[in-house]
Amino acid sequence: VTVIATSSFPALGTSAVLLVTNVPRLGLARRILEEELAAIDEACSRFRPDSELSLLNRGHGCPTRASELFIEAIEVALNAARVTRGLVDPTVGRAIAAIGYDRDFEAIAKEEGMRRPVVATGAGRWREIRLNRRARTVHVPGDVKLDLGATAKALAADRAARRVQQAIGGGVLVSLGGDLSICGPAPRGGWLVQVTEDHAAASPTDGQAVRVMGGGLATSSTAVRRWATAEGARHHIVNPASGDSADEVWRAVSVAAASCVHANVATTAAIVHGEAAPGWLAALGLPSRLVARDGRVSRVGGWPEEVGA
Amino acid sequence: MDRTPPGGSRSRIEARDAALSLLGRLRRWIVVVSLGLVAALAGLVAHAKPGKSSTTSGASGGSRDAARSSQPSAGGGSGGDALAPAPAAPAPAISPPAEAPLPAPATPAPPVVSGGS
Repeated sequence: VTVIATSSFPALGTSAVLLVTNVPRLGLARRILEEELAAIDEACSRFRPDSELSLLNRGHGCPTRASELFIEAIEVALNAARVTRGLVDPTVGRAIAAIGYDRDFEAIAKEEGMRRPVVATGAGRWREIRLNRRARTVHVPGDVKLDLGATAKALAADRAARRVQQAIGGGVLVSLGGDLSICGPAPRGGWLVQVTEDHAAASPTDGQAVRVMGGGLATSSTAVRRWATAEGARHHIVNPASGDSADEVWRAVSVAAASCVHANVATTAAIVHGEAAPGWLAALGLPSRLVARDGRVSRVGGWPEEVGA
Repeated sequence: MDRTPPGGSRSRIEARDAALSLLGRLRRWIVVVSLGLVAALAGLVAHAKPGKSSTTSGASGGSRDAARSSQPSAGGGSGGDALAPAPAAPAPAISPPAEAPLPAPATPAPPVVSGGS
């Protein structure tokens, strides 16, 4: 039996969980993870007024200086938009703020019945983002606000898992709010993971247990980060075409991929895709588990059946 | 000996000199305005067709980025050391894992949860 050391703590408005097989080096591993999380928060937080993202969003269309990490985060977001043909779009910042997600979620959850009309920001505006790597500047049109929520957390998980593994060796699993990145050799039999709708309210009878050997595993859900407005319930996954919360065809979509970024991009796109999601995920060969609004579970791409089912 | 030209001739010479001076100034202004127009036109073309830099470093950067973009990676990479308009590079696919998840019994309870957050 492989011995695993674990550390968990609040981070990025959710929870961070770190598992390593090199048990004596857990302390160093945690420090590296904390460094990565602090760096991604400084670069990509939508709710920190001093973050690079906030400065860019207040830039009125002027080119803004960017750190290496922030440029990488925007590149990842643009890649996500490209590979999903705009289903995952970093330019939904204005739209998601308009429907109510404009501050830390704890504050939003207490607010009820406010008028939150949809702002159609126009799909495809990610194509107007300009990066200049040499000058290290980013330029977005003055009326566009970025939101890197669909990719930045996953990027942090991938970066942290890779750095920790390089520093201490062995097997490493980093989970940020239920999105997992794995590096190095897995424990015998793989990493045991419970896949469910809400990572903070999981129970052994909820969802499905699987073993994961490497790469990334992510879950997106319309059942969490929900709030009430005068126009009805909203959730945090925005359809860039409408500017509103995506239709709730799926309560949750879980995807295993080569990295946490790839997995998270796929789950977000699948929620927006709606009915077409299973075919899209299967065509990409991504092992996926989809839970419909009525609780019906679909599995595609080689996702395993439940044990005993 | 008086070399001063007669009054009529002097005024003609002065008029000619003034005209030549005006032509010279006009020519300089035409050159300056033309250069400005060329620069403005170049700026417009560069804005309309970004990423088409003719510098050698930009070209080599482009090929390197294209190669990088074709490889699946966590970092993704939109391509572009120079101006990097989003849709220019070929789209890398979302890559599946080396091995699909395996079935597992529900007990003991797994130490890690993947769920919405």
